[in-house]
Amino acid sequence: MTLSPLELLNRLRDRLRRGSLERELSDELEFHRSMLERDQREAGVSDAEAQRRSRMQLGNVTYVKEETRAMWSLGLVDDLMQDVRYATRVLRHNPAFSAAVVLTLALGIGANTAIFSVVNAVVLRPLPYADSDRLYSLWTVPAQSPTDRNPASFPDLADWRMQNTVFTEIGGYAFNRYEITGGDVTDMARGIGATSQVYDVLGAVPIVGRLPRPDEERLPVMAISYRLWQRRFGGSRDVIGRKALLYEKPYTIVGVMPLGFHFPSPDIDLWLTLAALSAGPSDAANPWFVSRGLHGWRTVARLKPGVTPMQAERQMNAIMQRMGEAFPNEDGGTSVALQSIRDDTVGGVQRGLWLALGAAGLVLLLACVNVAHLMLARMSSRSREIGIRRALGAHRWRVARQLLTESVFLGILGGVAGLLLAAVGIRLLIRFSPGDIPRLENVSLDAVTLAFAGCASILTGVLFGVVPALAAGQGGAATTLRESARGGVGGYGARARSLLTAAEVAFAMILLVGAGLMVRTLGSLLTTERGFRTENVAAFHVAFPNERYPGTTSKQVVLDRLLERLRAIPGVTLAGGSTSLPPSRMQQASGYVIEGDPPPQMGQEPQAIYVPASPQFLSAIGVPLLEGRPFSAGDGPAAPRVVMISRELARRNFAGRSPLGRRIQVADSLWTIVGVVGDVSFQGVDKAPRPTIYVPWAQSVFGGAWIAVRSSLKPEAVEEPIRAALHEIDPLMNARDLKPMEAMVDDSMIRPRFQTWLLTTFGGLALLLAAIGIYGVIAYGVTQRTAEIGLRLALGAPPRTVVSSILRRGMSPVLVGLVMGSIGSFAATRLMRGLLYGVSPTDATTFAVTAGLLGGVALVAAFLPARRAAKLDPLRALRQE
Amino acid sequence: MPSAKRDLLPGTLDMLVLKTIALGPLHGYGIAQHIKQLSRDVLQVDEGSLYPALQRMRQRGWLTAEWGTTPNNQRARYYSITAAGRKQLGAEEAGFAELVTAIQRVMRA
Repeated sequence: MTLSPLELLNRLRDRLRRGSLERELSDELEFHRSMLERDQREAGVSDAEAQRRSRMQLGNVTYVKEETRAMWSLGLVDDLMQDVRYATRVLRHNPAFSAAVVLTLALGIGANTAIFSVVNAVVLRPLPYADSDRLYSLWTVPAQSPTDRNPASFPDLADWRMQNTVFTEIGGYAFNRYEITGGDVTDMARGIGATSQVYDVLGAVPIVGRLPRPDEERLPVMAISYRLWQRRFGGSRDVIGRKALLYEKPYTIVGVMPLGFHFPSPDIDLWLTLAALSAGPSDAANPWFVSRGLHGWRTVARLKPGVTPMQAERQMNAIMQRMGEAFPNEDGGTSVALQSIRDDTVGGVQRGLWLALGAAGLVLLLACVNVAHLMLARMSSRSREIGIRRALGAHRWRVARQLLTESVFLGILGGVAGLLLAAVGIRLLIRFSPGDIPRLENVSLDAVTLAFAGCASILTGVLFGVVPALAAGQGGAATTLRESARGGVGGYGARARSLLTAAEVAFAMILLVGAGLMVRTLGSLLTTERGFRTENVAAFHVAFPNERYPGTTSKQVVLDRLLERLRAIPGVTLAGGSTSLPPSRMQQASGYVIEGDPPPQMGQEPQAIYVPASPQFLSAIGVPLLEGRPFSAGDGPAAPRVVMISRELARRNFAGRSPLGRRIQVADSLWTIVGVVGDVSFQGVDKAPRPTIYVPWAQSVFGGAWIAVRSSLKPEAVEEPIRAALHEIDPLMNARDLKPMEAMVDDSMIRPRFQTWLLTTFGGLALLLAAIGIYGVIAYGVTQRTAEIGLRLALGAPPRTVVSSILRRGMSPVLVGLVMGSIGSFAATRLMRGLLYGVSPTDATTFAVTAGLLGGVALVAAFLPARRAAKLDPLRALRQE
Repeated sequence: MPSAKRDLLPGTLDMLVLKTIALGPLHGYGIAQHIKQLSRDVLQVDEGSLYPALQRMRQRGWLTAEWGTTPNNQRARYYSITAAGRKQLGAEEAGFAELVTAIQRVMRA
């Protein structure tokens, strides 16, 4: 029967006022009857007889009402309502069961929703640029290390723009740090100086004002971040047109970018023009603008409509090859690689996030399995009810639908509770997450996340409900009734339970192996030989801006004075400065050639980290001198040019021979090697140390320095004296990131720490769920077999055999699960490559320990009910039947 | 009691009800009586079909229901035909005439 829209609407309206319609129908039928009664009386029948006849004539009133009522109902919907009402009643009568199910599901759904909200905000939601999937960054790939992705040089960028036909435009930008001065507080901010094409290409919309215009490329204008706007300018709209001082130089604010605009990373607060990068009146004086060999420019480009990234990459490489022929020294052998802006922005965290979602998914699966166990166990106590319903003519599908409604209803209850947990979980996640996850401030329980939670709840309900529903449908009504007399759901239920247990163990195993690998990674990171000593060292960064310290001499003099003043602080033993600081502050790398060695092939020049460092810097951070002499005050600007090299560089280039006295060509000069020092990584504790060249600061002055101060006191105790010393040297000088070096090392490990925290939490949850599940299944099996066990005991079976028989039966699915889990882990942990350090994804020890742990917990969980069974009083057990 | 009671032809109940109330608003009992009397007791409207049919036609918008008072001052629900109901009645009458003619042609052959 099809209903017209009008009819459906009327039905719906009638459905809602069913009560009054019902009363009206009763009144109407009573009127009808009274009229019939009157007819009878008028025909001369006695009053009592008239009433009786009228009733007979009217017929079956209940039938009339039943038929009419069907007009007011909505078929399936009303069936569903009935099922839900029935489900509520059933669940209310078993509060302990319902609470266990809802809590288990809430844990699973809550964990998934929380992680998903992060994945959604960080990875899935489109980036805040127009048509963001057409945006790519271009990287140069040196021939000798094809896995590297380097920025471009400014001349490269100009050539690319001129010659390509695949991008609407290519923009270039470089990072810089600024002190925002003027006013009471000095803010530290990171910004990019960009060509005007960058802002054109992005197509981003500021919330106030605008982005720098093409005609302003050389003017001191900038857009600021929402964060800075709120913090420094109180969110006032008249900030547009105001000037802010960056290192004392005024810049006009032209726009404010929206919250969550992180181009190209979350720590950027200023979007500036080229005016912020070129110090002098012309670019010619600035090597970053003129040198083809200085790869300091990152790029962003918009693909023309209809052009594929593959076509673009092909053309860019053809252009690059021509450039390589024209400039063999700088561009020879170099190729170009495209990376989508999405990978650029979230590539670093994407893998970890998907992995976390996978782990949460496994926890949810475990929760499902546990709930399915509970449902199956309860099925046996309900099989009588179901048998009766079947015997009374309920269709098998109708019974299964009723059971499914119950489980989906439970799933939704679990989902609602899970949302509450997720709200808490999201806060925890944000609190403990590493600060470098982009777009994290977008995380919220938004519509997409709610939809995800809703789907997860319903799917969960179907997933754990389908096994019991199928089990209920097995066999005819008679079988079910007969079986219920024996108290079981039969072979299907038993087989289902074994399978579920095996699956449960397998899921838990995969999660625990993942957690174990992360724990071992963290262990390796903590115990790895770092090459420097952090105890009692405080470190910070200072800037020597051109506005206050023009030219190299003033920069060098101020650093000397500052270090002298720091060494005068009571307790301070050593103080030194450098452009780079372990574990993860690297300023620049450079190509080098050893004098006397055959010249490297075109484009094959080896690269080393290039570190200008003052005397005492390396000893302050505890890098050992292995050979030769350290830098001293004698290595001044006019003194002979000298370098110290790292052991790794010595190993690569001087195999066995002493490098002392040899000369090395780097940064356009020839330097004499006077010392060899230990290896240090400047690119993170999880990265192997690269060849490193240290040059005297005085011979290669830079516009800012990391200062390390070693003392006999706790590093926190010298922080105040350090600030005072800086203020004394220059009231405008600030110590940025002043903290104990140990804290810097800790900070650099925040990401692996977070991954470990997440995975061990999920792993622990999985272990708990698996233990509960196994315990529940075996305890249930023992209850079912009470009579059999009693009989055995009565016939003289020793309790030991009873225990071992129960354990054998209980543990065999566990063993199957362990094998399945090992295979699953073998496949799954491969996805963790890149997150691990010092441990292989298929680390045998981790696998063995995990299997042992899980097997042990399962054994304990199985042993408890088995022991109880062995202690049964045979007589009581037999009487139970 | 005459044994000539006939079940209604399927689908004709709606038409008969609509025709009846097209003459003026009437309650359920009145509709049943009207059909019975005009058909000389041949057509018996079963209450079990009448009331569901009235609800269905109301939902389809062919008639409206309103409580009123009988000449004897009893409360009763009166059904009135709507414009849509008249249109439907016309269509059903035409269809029915066609059907009857067709059946007669067959029976006379």
